[in-house]
Amino acid sequence: MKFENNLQKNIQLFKNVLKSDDIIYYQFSAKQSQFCVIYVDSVTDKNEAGKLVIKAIQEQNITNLEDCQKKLQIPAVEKSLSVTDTITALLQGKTILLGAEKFCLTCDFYSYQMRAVAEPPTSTIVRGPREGFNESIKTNLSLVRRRIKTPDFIVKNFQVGKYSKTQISLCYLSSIAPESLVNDVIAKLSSINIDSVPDSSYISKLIIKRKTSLFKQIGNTEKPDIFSQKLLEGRVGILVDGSPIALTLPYMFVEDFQSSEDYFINNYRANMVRAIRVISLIIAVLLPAIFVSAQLFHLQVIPLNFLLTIVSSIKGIPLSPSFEMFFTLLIFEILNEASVRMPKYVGMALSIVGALVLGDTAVKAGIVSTPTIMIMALSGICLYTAPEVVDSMSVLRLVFLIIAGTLGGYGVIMLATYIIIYLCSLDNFGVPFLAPYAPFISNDLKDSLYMDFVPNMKKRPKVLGSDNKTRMGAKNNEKTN
Amino acid sequence: MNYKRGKVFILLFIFCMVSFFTNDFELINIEKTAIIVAIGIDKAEEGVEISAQIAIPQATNQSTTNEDAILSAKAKTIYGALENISLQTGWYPKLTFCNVIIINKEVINQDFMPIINYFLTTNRIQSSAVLSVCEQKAKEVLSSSTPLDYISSFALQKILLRNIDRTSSVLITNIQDFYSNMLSHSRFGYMPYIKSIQTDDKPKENSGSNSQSSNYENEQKEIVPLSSQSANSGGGQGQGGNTQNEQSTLYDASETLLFSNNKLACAFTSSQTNCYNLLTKPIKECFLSVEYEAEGKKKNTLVSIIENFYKVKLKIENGIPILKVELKIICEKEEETPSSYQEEDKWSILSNDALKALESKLNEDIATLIELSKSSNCDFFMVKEKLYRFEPNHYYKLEKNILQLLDYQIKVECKNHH
Amino acid sequence: MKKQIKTGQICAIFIALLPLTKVVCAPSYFAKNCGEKLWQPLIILLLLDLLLLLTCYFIYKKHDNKSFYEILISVYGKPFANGIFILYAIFFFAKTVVPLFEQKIFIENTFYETLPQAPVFYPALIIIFYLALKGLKTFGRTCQIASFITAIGFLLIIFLGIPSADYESLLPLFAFSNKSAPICALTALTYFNDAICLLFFLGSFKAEKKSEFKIFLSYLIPFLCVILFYVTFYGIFDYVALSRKVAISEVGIFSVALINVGRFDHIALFLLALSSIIAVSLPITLSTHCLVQIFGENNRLTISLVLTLMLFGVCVTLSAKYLMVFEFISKYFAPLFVLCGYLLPLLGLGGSNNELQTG
Repeated sequence: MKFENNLQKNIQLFKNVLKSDDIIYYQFSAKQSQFCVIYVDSVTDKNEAGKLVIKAIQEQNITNLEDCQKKLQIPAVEKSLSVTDTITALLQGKTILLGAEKFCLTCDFYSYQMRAVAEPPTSTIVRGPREGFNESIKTNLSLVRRRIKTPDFIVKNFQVGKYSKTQISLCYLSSIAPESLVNDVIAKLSSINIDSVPDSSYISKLIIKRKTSLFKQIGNTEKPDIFSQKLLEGRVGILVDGSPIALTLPYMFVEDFQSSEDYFINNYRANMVRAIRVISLIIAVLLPAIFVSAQLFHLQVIPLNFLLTIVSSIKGIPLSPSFEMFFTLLIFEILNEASVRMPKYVGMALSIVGALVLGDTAVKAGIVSTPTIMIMALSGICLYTAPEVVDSMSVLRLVFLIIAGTLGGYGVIMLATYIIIYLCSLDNFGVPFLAPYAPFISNDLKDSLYMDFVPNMKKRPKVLGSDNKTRMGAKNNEKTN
Repeated sequence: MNYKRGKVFILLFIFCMVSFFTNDFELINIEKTAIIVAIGIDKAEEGVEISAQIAIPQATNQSTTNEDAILSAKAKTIYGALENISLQTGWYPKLTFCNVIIINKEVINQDFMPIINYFLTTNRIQSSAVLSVCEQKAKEVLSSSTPLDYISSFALQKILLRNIDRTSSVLITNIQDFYSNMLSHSRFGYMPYIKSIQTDDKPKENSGSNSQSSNYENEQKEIVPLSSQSANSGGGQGQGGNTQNEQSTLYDASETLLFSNNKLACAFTSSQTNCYNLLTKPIKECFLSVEYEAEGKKKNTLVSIIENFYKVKLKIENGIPILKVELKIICEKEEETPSSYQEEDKWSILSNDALKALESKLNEDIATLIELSKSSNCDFFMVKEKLYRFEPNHYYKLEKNILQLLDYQIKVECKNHH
Repeated sequence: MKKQIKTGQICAIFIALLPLTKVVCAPSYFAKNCGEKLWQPLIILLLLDLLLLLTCYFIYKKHDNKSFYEILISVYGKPFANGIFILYAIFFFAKTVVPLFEQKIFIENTFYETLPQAPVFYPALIIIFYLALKGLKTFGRTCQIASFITAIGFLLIIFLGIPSADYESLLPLFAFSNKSAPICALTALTYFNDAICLLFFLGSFKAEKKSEFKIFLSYLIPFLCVILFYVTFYGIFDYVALSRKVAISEVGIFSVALINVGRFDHIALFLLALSSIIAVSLPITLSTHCLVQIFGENNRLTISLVLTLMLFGVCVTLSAKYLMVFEFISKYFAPLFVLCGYLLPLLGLGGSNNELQTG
C-alpha cells in the first residue's frame, strides 16, 4: 500500500486496515489545505497534539507536509513513506499527520496512565534506595540513566511480539560488558518469535539454554540500584515494556543470597545475615526430609532422649511419618497460595483457620504430631529468607521429602549429589552457575556467600570475563587489564 | 529424546510416589521398635537368660518422665535370647542405644568370651557399650529402683561414665577395650564389679511400676502382657517391682574384677582401684585418706589429688625386666582430724609429715599391686605388651615368664598444690 | 584437545576423592595382614604413586601437554593406542567394583539397620552414569564442591578418633620384619594408585603457575591424612582392628562428645557418603573417557550407559559375595593393576616432541 496525492484516499487506506472505534480521524483545514490527524484515543495527549500540531499549522498558515516538518516545533517528527510502518507507529502511540502528499508525518504525543515509582513489594529493605521499576520502560530507563551517566552506557531497543510489539531495551556498558556476551544476547533476542510478551519472565524463558530446568538461569530485580550495579560488574540488563521486573544476565546461584542492603549495612551484620540465609535454605529444603528419614530408617542418629520425645509425640498418629509430613506441607502450600489470592477482608479469618484449626486442632485430634507441625512451620519460614529461590526450593523440598520417605537418608544424599552435579554442569552465557565455588575463583569469593569489606572489592568479578577488571583505585577513564 | 526423557521421569515419579505413600518394604515401624538401653546377662540352666531394659516413652501430656520395662528371655546363646524377645513380643530389639551390659558373676566364672565376642562382632550394638559384672542377678539390678534416675541403667551410666570426668573411683571398660586387651600379648581384662546398696531414700516416682518382667522360655509360649502405665500400680508381676517397698538402691562400682587368659584371676579393692587409676590415666578427682604421726599425735588427713603425672616403663637391665613406676601427684588437704587451725590451713597445705606418709602409702599400694599381678599371673600392668612394644629384642626370651622374673622400682613424689 | 579442566580442579579431585575409597573395608584388611605395621604398605604405595606423578610430570614436559592418547598415537600408532586404551577401560572398570561393593556395605551397615536388603543403594548407579555422561569438565567442578565436603567430614571423623587412639599400639615400628607388607600393597592396589588419573588429565588442562607443586601437594596431603586415619584406626582398635568391617563409621564412636550428645558423627558420615558416590564414579568416568577417545564423543551416552549397566549387573549378581569378589580381584587382577597402573605410563616417555608417525 502506498500513499497518494489525495487526502481522502490516504485516509481511506487507514480506514480499510484499522477498524477500531478508538482510532480517531480528525480532519481540519489550514488556509486552503486539508490535513488529517489520526491518533489512538487512549494513548495520545490530545491537548499537546492540538496545541503543537493543529493550532500551529493553522496559525502559521502551513499548506503542505514539507513545511510542517520544517516549521512545527515538535520533537521527534519523522517522515514515513510506508503505510504499514505508519500503521505500526500509530498503534505504538504515535500521532499521524496526513496531507495530500505521498508521505505522512509521525509525531510522538504518547501519554498513558501508569503506576508511580514506589518501593517494590518483592525487595523491601530497611536501609538503602527504595525506588523500584514500574511498567513503563521509559520511566525505568530514566531511573537507570540517573544512576549511570556515562557515554559507555548503551541501550539497544528491540521489538518483540507479533501482536504486542513490545519494546525491549538491552542495556550494557560497552567498556565493561564482554562483547561476546552482548552479541550472544542480541542474537537470542532477535530470534524470538512469539505473539506477545506480557512480562519479562517470558523473555527469560525464551533465551535461556535449558528451558526445562527447575533452577532460575537469569537474574531479575525490581530495583534500579541493583540493576545498575549489576551492569557495572559486567552483566547486561534487559528492560521490558509492561513489566516492572528487569532481567540481568549472566546469572550465578550465589546472587540469590545477596541483597542490596548487604552493601549498605555493617559488614559483620551483612555476613551474619548471608550465613543465616544459607543455613535457612538448607533447613527449609532438607529438614522435613531428614526428619522423616530419621524416623523411618535412621533411629540411631537421633539422641536417645530426643528419640523418646519423638516416639511419645507420635504415639497414636494414624499416618505414616512420610505421609504425615507430606500432608502437612501440602496444607502449608495451600494456605500459602490461598493467602496470596484471598481478598484482604477475609485474610484474617484465613489466618485463624490456618493456625488454630489446622495446626492446633489437628494435633489435639491426633491426626498429626507436634514435631511435624513445628518442622513444617520452621521450614516454611526459612524458605522465605531468600525469596528469590522460593519457586525452585519449594518444589525441591517436596522432591527431597518423597525421596527421603522412599529411600531414606541415602536417598537424600543421592539426590543432593545429583543436584550438585547438575548445577555444576549448568552454564549461563558462558558463566558457570556455581561460580565462584565451581570453578573456584578466589578473586570472586570477596562477594559471594561471604562478603568482604566494600573498599576491598577492587576488582570486578573475574568470571564475567570483562576486560575492564578494576572498579576501584584506577584513574578516571583508565581501562585497566 | 525429550519426550522419552519425560516418560522416564513420569515413570520414576509414579514409582517414587507409590513407594513413598505405601512405605511397605517390611520396614520396622518406630513404634514396634524396642529401644533397649541396657542388657543384663544371667546364667540359665542351659545357656543364658537375657534381661533387656527397654525405655518406654510416655505421651508428653501425661508425664514428663520416661519409664522402662524389663523383658527376659532364655536361650543357649545371646543371639537366640534376643531373637526370642523379638519373636514373642513382636518388637524389634534395637540395641544401638544399649550403653550398659551387666553380667552376673556366675556367668563370668565359666567361659564368657563367646558373649563378649558376639557383642563385638555384631554391628547392632556399639562397641563403646560399658561392660560390668554384678554381684546379684543382673535382672534384679535392672529391675531395682533408684533415687538417681527413673531408669536404673541410666543411674548406672551416671556412675560408670563418671570416668569421663577423670575420677579414680571406677575402672571402666567397654566391649572394645576388654576384647582388645584380652587379645593383646598381656591377655588380661577388667570389669567394674557392681554391688547394690539398699538405702532408705525414697525411690523416684513411677520407677519400677513397669519393671515387670515376663519370663519367656524356649518351650512355653506364655505371654504375659505388660501392666498399664499407671503411676502407682504396684502391680508388678514377677521379680523386680519395688514400688511396694520404700527402699531404693544405690550402686557401688569401686571394686574391680580382673581376668587373665579368659578367666577370672583376681580382684581390686576400692583403694587398689584408686591406685591403679592413678597409674594409668590422668585424674582430676581422687580422695585418699592418710594416717600419720605429728608432734606425738596421730592424725588422719583426707587428701584430694588435683593432678597426677605417671610413668610406667619396662626396662631390661642385664637381662632382668624392671618395671619402673614413677608417680608424681599434686594434692591438697581437704580435712584433718583432730583439727587444729594453722596458718597453712587457709591454703589447704599438707605438712611434710603428711606428704611423706602419703608417699609411703602410695609406694606400698603400688608394690602391693605389682605383687598381686605377679602372684595371680594377671598382667594388668601390661608388662608383656610393653616388652613387645618397647623391648622387642628381648621379647622371645622373656615373654613366657616375665612376670615371675619381674623386678620393680617405684618412685612416688607428692607435692602441695600451692 | 579441548581444555576442559583446570589445575585447581585436578587438585580438588585428589583432595575430594583420594581418601574416600580407602577408609571403608581396607583398614581392616591392612590390619589383618600387617598388624601394627599397617603403615608400611601405605608408605610403599605412596612412594610408588609419587613416582607415577613424577612420570606424568616428565611426560607432560616432554610432549608439551598433549593427551596420553595423542602421545601414544604419535609415537606408537593408532591401533596400539586403541589397544592400550581398551586395556585401561577394563582396568578402570575393574577398579570400580570393589570400592562400589564397599560403599554398599558402608551404607547398609551404617545407616540402615531396620531395613532388610532393599535396593537402597542401586540408584547411586544412576548418579555414576550421569557423572560419566557429563565428562571431565563437570567432574572437575563437582569435585571442587566435594573437596570442601570431604575435608569437613574426614577431618571431623579423624578429630573424633584421635583422642581415643593409643598410638603406642603401633610399636614396635621396625622390629619383627613384615614380609607381608609388599604383598598387602600389591593386593590392595584396587583401592590405591589414584595418581594414574593424572595421566588421563594430560592435555585437558592448561598448566598454571606452580601447577606441579600444587598437584603434588594435593596428592600428598590427602594420602598423609589417609595414613593418619589408618594409624588412628589401629590405635583405637588395636588387636580387634581386623574385625571392624566399616572403619570410617567406627573410628569416632569412642569420642566423649558422642557418648554425651549422641551419634552426631553421622553428619560427617553422610557428608562422606555424598563425596563417596563421586569417588566411586571416578574410575567409571575415566573408563568412559578412554572409550570415548576411541569411539568418539558422539557415543558418550551409549558408552556410559553400557558401562553402568555392566556395573549394575555385577552389583546385583555379586554384591552379596563381597569377600569372594575381593579375593578374585586382588589376586587375579593384581598383574593388570601393576601393568596399567605403573608400567604402561612409561610408554608416554617414548618418542620426542611433535614426533608424528603414520599408523
